Amino acid sequence: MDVAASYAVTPGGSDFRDVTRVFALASQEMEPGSIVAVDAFSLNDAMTAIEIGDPRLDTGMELETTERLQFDPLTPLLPEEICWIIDRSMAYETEWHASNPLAHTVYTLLYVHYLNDVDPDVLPFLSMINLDPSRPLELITVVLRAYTSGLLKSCNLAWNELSKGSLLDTEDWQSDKSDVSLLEGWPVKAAVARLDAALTWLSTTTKVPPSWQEALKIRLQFRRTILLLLNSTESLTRDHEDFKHLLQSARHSLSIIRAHPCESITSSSPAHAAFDLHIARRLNTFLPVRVIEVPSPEQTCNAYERILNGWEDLAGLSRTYQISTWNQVGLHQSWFSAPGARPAYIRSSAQTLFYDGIQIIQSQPQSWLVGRFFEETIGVSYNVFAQYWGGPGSVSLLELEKRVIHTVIPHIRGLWNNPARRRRFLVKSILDWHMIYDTLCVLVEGLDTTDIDPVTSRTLNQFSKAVVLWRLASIREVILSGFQLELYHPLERPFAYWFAAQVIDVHLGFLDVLLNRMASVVPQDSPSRKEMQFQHVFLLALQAMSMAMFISLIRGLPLNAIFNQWEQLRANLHRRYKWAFQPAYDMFEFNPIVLEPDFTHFLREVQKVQDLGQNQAIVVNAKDRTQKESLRSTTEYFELAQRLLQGLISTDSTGALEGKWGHDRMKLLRGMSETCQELHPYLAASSSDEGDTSRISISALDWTRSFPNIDAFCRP
Amino acid sequence: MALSAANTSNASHTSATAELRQLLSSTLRITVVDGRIFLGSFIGTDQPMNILLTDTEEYRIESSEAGKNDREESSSTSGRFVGQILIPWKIIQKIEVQEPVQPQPSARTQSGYDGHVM
Repeated sequence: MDVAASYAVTPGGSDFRDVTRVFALASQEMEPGSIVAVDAFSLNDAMTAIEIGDPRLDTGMELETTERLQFDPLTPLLPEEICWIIDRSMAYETEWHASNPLAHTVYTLLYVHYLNDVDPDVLPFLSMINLDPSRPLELITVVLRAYTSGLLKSCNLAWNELSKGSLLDTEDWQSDKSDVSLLEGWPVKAAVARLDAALTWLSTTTKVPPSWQEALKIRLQFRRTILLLLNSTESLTRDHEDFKHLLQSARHSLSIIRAHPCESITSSSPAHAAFDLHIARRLNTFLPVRVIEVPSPEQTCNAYERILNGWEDLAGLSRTYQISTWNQVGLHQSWFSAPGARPAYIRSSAQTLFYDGIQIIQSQPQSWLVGRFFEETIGVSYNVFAQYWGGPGSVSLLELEKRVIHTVIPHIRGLWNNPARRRRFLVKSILDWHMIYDTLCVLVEGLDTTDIDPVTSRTLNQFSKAVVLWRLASIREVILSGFQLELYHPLERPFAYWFAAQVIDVHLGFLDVLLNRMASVVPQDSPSRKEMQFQHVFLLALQAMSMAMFISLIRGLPLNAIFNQWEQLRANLHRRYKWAFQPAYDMFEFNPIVLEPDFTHFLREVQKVQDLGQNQAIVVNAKDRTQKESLRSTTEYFELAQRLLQGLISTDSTGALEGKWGHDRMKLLRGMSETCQELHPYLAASSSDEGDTSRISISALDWTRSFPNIDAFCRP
Repeated sequence: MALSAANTSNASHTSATAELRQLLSSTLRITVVDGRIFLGSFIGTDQPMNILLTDTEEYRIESSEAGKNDREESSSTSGRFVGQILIPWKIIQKIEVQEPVQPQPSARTQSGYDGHVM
């Protein structure tokens, strides 16, 4: 660099005078501990400043260990090197979708920052500098430029969805763009046109060997499809068929990319310079620099597969106008896979699809929810209820309808939150459900029933039970999701299982009433009755599993451990279940169904388990309602659960869920049944070893199968 | 934090310190040993010369090897905002202060102007 050039680029210009000596002399003159500062200076100013040269704080610092390769965007590259760059950028894109910052992922591709430098329109002498026929510069200026533009536009569209506020920035995803353009103002059509132009060039050129032409074309096509899918997600309900075709095309492209991953390039290849893992040091970001390990091609394809599967679910949901199905799908997706396996973009899109701030599923008004809620839960039209107060939307029902809407929307949307936030939403909804229950009870109690026949009167009373079913399901989910979040201390775990079994017991009681004693209320052969019958058996199985775990864990603890540490444990349980002890419940006229856990009852049951020997009968609260028999041991509980689950599987019973969702539910049942089967030998071993359940090893079991809150059943 | 809080009146008012005070609130350009340049407003320092700048931009001047590439160089000279920073004396290579802009002499004050309106 010559002096003139250096001078020209010195930041701030030339009107500067060297004062280094002034500072050096002042340092000698000043007393230790003294400062020279502006009047408004405070200690806080010094404390909040970033110390340059401190590797922990100074994000711009170049560490001696980091070696930067010199990057020139117009360095000619071989087709395989372009392919390698594209595959690596795809890997980084999936890492951004996995909640990492752009500065550590997509932005490490340096072409992102040099798009204008590789624009063929501003490079008129391109043909003169391109001397190597095996490295045509069009690979950079046409192919890679189009791909990078498409990549940035894809990130822009995903960013737009994620920034809608359904998910939390820095918790579920990273919004920081570090002042780098994601081609925000550029139309999607232009990005697609650029990709099309690149595809055309690849199809007609003779400069690239045919095998590499195909490899590059399939990657450009995949990018083009991803871009179009991202662009169509908002109009999913309108362009459903087009979306499905795009999805099919994306799956096809991905399968080819998966089958033919790009081989790694030589260590001396100039393509390595296309990525700067420490680019964040040069960007406007305060995030500490972190080098993200590049996922393997297999991992990258799996990550894309998860996004495509998410889109598949969204396509199905866009045609699903049953809120109970939405509820079950939401529950399944949080039970099925590890939280990291659900891309934030899909979770946000699902929430937007359900409610975009104006409409439900892009077509229905909010009031539509009220009718669906009651009709799907107890099989009776909301009109049957509403007619006694002037019909749906009448002044007397406004409060009720508002509460249903304001509870159902966050309840369903919240199922696509991350596990911790999802649990918090559910905890909040427990009180909201009770508010609806209270409102319904007050309305029915205030109704003059002199002119109403007893059957209708009975039906009106059942509407509040619909709300109770949702509330009890939420409580159960809150308790069991605590295992997924690893919230519970070992001493708290037996209580959690016991309390879950108690809540299920009440739930079964309500289902009993609706299915048998109030048989006339829920119409025969209605989807609601079918679902209730399924839930009845399913919950019995879940209750048996919970009881098995409760007994097993109590026996695994030192004798009287619960009693000896009860004071501390009681305080912990109060804090853990604080949602059950809310004074807010005192404001309502009607008492909630299931609220505060009965600690005395729990201690009695613990005592009972301790007192009785391994082979003696344990008659606890979980009576088998279908067989009326007492259960004896943990093994028997699991056997019962397995029998019940196998019954559902053999009769292909999936309740009200059909098609893909029914298939998912069946997968869930099989996973649960197999879990019961696999726990037998461990529990048998622990029984013969004086109940040492610590021998149940998580790693010894195959927990990869589907299972509801599987963590809840694999922790000793 | 290296910058110690103490009474500013403790500083003796000899010439260099007084001159240092004159620099407060001025724009400083500090070059550090790894080649970066920081341009920010000088708000304080302590006796070991841990210098506090506010509203600072960080610039990176490439070495002559990397600087061969014009595109690279041009991009590196666009600063990134780093806000309030503290630069320890041990990594400082050079400190410069921006001279106040002198008003351009107007035509009326130029010698040789005879006052006649053209």
